[in-house]
Amino acid sequence: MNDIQVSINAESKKIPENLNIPQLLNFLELKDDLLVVELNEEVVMRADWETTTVGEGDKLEIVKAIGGG
Amino acid sequence: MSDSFRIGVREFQSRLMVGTGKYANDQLAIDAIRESGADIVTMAIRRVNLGQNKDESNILELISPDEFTILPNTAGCYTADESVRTCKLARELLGGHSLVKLEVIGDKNTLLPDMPETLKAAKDLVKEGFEVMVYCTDDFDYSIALEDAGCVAVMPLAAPIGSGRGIENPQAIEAIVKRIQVPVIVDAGIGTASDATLAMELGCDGVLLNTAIAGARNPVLMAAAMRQAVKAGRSAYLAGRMPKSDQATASSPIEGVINS
Repeated sequence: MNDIQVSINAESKKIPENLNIPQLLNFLELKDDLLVVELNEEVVMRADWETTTVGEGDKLEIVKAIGGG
Repeated sequence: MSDSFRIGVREFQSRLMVGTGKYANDQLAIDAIRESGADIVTMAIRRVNLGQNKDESNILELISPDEFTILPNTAGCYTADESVRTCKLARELLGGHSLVKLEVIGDKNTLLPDMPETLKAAKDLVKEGFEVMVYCTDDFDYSIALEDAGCVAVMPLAAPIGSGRGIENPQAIEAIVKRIQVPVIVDAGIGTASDATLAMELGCDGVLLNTAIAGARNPVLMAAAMRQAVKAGRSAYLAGRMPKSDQATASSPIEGVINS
């Protein structure tokens, strides 16, 4: 299986190709609840996670809520 | 006596809104927030740490959308586009919830709002279907423009974020209160209970604060003080204060004093 180069939270990362969002979160060892994913500046709705595959050069943001005022 | 108020499509009991930042630990945050009696609780949206502990707690587990109305903010955004992106992420995170606190900062040292960019962001967010509570300066004309843009609450600052200096320009706040139809909420700069009371006495519909509680020596006790202060100020406003006078007026009758 080949690796691809992507940007996640502005960090350059090598990840296996053909991962969907749940597989990506699992690869990154992130719990998949209470967070949200943006792919190339578009929010990925949770209902679309299974069918959304990450490709070479994609820019991802993975965010959560934290304390703030 | 019920004194609920409406922001957008939602009805709230508490006129005190609180932030969740700067607490020494999560337990202290939830204890203080519960003591404050707040219905609306603000949070920020940030990148997860890659490589973080999988068992690291998430603030939404402790401060749950089942117990509070979560108000995601756009703190840290300097442009309309960044703030719209942040609100879209927050809406998906919170299961389609559309109430947001818009703040577009102009300068990292003063943290004062960039008002032209804030107005642009407000218009974009309203178009996207968000209910926008907007953090702004106490500028009268911008307050009107933000209401006209469709914001559900106008939230002028008392003083710079985290400064605790209290209401620096009460006349400006009062002018906004008298003109604006949607709720006016003083947001940022509150330092202690009397500041919150003054905001309510000026006729504001609510007060939003964070550091005044989180930065107190005893946050839980200050949360109680703020809850009482907002209620006291609201009651005083509704009661209508006595007119001020240049002269003293005796409270006890003059007639019948024993040595007259």
